[in-house]
Amino acid sequence: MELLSNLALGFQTAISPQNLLYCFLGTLIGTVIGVLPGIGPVQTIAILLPTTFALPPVSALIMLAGIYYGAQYGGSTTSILVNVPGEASSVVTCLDGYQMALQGRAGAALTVSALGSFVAGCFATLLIVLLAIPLSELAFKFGPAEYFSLMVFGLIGSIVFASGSPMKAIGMIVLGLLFGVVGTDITSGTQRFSLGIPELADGIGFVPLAMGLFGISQIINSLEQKEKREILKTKIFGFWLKKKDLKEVAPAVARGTLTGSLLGLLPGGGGILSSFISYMLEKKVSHNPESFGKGNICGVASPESANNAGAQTSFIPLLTLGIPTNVIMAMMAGAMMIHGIQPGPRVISSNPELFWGVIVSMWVGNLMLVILNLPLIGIWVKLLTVPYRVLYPAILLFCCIGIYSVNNNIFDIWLTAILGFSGYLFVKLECEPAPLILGFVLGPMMEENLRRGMLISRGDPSIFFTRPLSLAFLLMAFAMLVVIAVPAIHRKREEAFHEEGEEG
Amino acid sequence: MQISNHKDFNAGLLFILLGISTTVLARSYPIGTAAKMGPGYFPFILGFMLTVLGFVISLKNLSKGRGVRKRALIRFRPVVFVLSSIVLFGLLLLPLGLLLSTLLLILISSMASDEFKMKVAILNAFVLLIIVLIIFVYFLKFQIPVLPAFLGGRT
Amino acid sequence: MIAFRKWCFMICIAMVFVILGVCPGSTQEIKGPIKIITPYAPGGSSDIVARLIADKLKDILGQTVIVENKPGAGGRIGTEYAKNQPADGSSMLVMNPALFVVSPLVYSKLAYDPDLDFKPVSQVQVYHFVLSIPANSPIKDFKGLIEWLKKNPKQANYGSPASGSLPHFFGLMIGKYAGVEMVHVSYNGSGPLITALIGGHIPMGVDTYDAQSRYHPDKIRILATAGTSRKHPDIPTFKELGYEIEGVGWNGIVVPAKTPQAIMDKLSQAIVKVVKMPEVKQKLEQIGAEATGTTAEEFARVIKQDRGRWGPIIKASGFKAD
Repeated sequence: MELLSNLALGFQTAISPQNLLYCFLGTLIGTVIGVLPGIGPVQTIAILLPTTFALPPVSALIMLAGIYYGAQYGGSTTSILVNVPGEASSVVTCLDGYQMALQGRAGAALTVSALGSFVAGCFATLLIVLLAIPLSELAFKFGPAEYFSLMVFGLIGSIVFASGSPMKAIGMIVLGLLFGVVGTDITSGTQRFSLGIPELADGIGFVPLAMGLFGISQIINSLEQKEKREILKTKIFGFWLKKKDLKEVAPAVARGTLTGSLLGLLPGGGGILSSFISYMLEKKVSHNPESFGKGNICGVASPESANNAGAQTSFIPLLTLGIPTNVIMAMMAGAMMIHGIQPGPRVISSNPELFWGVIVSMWVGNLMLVILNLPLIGIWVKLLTVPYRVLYPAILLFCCIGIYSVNNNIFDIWLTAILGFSGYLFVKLECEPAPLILGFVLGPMMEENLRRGMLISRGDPSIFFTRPLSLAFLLMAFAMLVVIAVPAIHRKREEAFHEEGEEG
Repeated sequence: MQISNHKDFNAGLLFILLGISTTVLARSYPIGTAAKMGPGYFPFILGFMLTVLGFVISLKNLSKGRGVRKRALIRFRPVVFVLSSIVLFGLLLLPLGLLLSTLLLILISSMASDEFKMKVAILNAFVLLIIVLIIFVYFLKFQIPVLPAFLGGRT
Repeated sequence: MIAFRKWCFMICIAMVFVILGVCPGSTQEIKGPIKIITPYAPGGSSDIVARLIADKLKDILGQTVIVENKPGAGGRIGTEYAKNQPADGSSMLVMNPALFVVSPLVYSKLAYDPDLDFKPVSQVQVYHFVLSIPANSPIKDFKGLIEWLKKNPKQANYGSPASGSLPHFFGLMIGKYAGVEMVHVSYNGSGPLITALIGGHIPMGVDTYDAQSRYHPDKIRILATAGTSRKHPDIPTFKELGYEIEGVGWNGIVVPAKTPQAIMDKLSQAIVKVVKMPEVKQKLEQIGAEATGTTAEEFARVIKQDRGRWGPIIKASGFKAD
């Protein structure tokens, strides 16, 4: 039983007093920065990275990992309570989480997101232990054609984010794709739409975009109409989940966990993409999709499980292959390299205590997080009784500080103000920002892989249809389009008949 | 001719405006061919799509029937105070440092609310300052100047 | 009540202007901790170099040395920032050929001039470029690759970690010497490039030795390295194979141009001393680079030589960033 001895080694490493302490510190910091809007794991890890250079590499990685998945726990809190995403990957949680809070079910929403994250965290850890190496091979199957088709699938699916006019939702997706074009073109190196501003060479940052469109514009809107806040204050139901909720939520958590675990493996994946795609899927399989966006508990459970699972499985490519799939993993690679450990397939044999220790620590960390978070729920819900006039300046402050510290650049603060104004405008025009955000995330990957695919095939588009995996995604996208379009056409006809009847 | 839904109509106009300007801007980058797409290819198509969508949305709302007059409620106070407090924070963070710019951010943004009270805002600012100093400056050591530059303020 | 509020607001605004008016005249004096600016985020090679040096430099110079990360726009924001720092030895910048050699050629408007705004202090490390293929490919060596390319010109695609990076141009250089037209496929960093290479989605990749060597030899086969000497005992250099291609990247330290010569000499000597320390040398080797620690003159010569080497290739490629 090699696995058992490996796990034993992992436990031995992870529960040494020092590592337990750093694991706790990491998850605690993660929860805090997750709750604080605008401040996410990217800048926190960047800032704390140098200080971990003094620690042994195992402790450093355990702590940094704790910050990353801890933030996934904390992020949902702010989304649910004040409709401002606490963290980039909890943008989707705003949609149904805040609606639940308005209905007095903030406690249930918080509980389900903590439990969902815990289940997802445990499952993802198990997955890493059992299947890390075979799973890491999955990423190799994805060439430009597969990526492009996956993105097409994701974009068509994103129309479900619309609760109003689907035409406007498509418009917002296209606008999101355009926002994603800003900056240095990966294929040609050209600066596009950067208006000569060097800060825009890296494109519009995700944090300013999410905070502007969701955070700032939400604050302005709440200030315009204060009645909504009052409901929130008056009735708050129990924190615990009812039996009926549990039954409804369990499959959603399972689906979210699975989606997140798989997407976390892909370059560019991780928490954000996982949460969006799982929400999309959940709405598609649901019996009453129209209740999404109006406080459906599955709309919280699934993306919250997915972002935690995705955050954890994104360690697989780094630990087994040395391939960082997102910015945070690239910083983890840096943390290993400064200690003279080359991330890569050799880590498992040359530093087994590091590999297994970090993995087991994730399970330990998830346990700590759920213990830390469940009792906090009562306190968080009390936060709703804090007058809004005190709360919103605090949100603004944390947003500003967080956004500045991503790049230590003032420009990002101004960008957030501009995007906040755009977000306000969108709300006034009843255009929903969620499809825009998804278009923004998927667009660059879609364009990049479309062009790469056409370059490699010398302009022959059949590359997208002849590869089985790519074809499968395209067929799924087509099927989804039919499913979306058919009822719409149907409804149109019915409406037409209706009107004629009434008119006559 | 009547506009049936102002919000949709205006959203369409916005899409047309953004679509056309993107298409025009995209023309300044090489378009390339399908086999070797240039940096202008993708945005050009997107801009075109957005323009078409905008027209469809706007025209759909330009019907003969009497419209539901849905106009958005706009109040200037929240927009102006919230946005200007952020812009000002950006302007002042480096020269004035975290302490003073936080104070200003909280005061000005608090004025956006109908329930603004100077005392509450000042108290709020002080409490938040302490939280910020403990979490970000002392504990997480963010690279932010705390004191004004003329007092030799560095992180 | 409203009047009171208005009044408060106006006081605030007035305060702002008063303080803004005071600021410009009151910048701080020269002395202070020494900072090494890295124009990239923590964790990358530039950052690691900065931190290794900072850690030892403080003992030699007897002063606090801190690392300041100023990321953005592929390093151009940090470089512009460094140019405007006091030229009294308290500010140094970690520099590389992308910013010093390539950028001036591909940007029509660059916010800094490498020669007018900076002076070289010491080159710290070099990293070798390599050409690699998936390990399951039937091709065994560089000669075999060229034969294969000549037979399958439609598949002559090579990946690099970024458009406009030295590996991008190095691939073109290989194509030029081998007489094959190579099509460049850019990736968003080494990670995605390696994934695509191992997955067989592109037949060749050009990258740095340290990024590619992590997999050798089970997933990726490095056919040749591009330094003057072998980086790995079993892998030949292009020169040994009879191709006059050489290409290395580097990280070095520069200072704002107005820094006095005496201070520069002192800094240069100190950095050379640090890089030659066995511990530092070993750490640099571990991350796949080669510690050099050259003098300022030698570093200046390298920069000049690099311009001669890359300039024609970059110009011939027609690559423009704006």
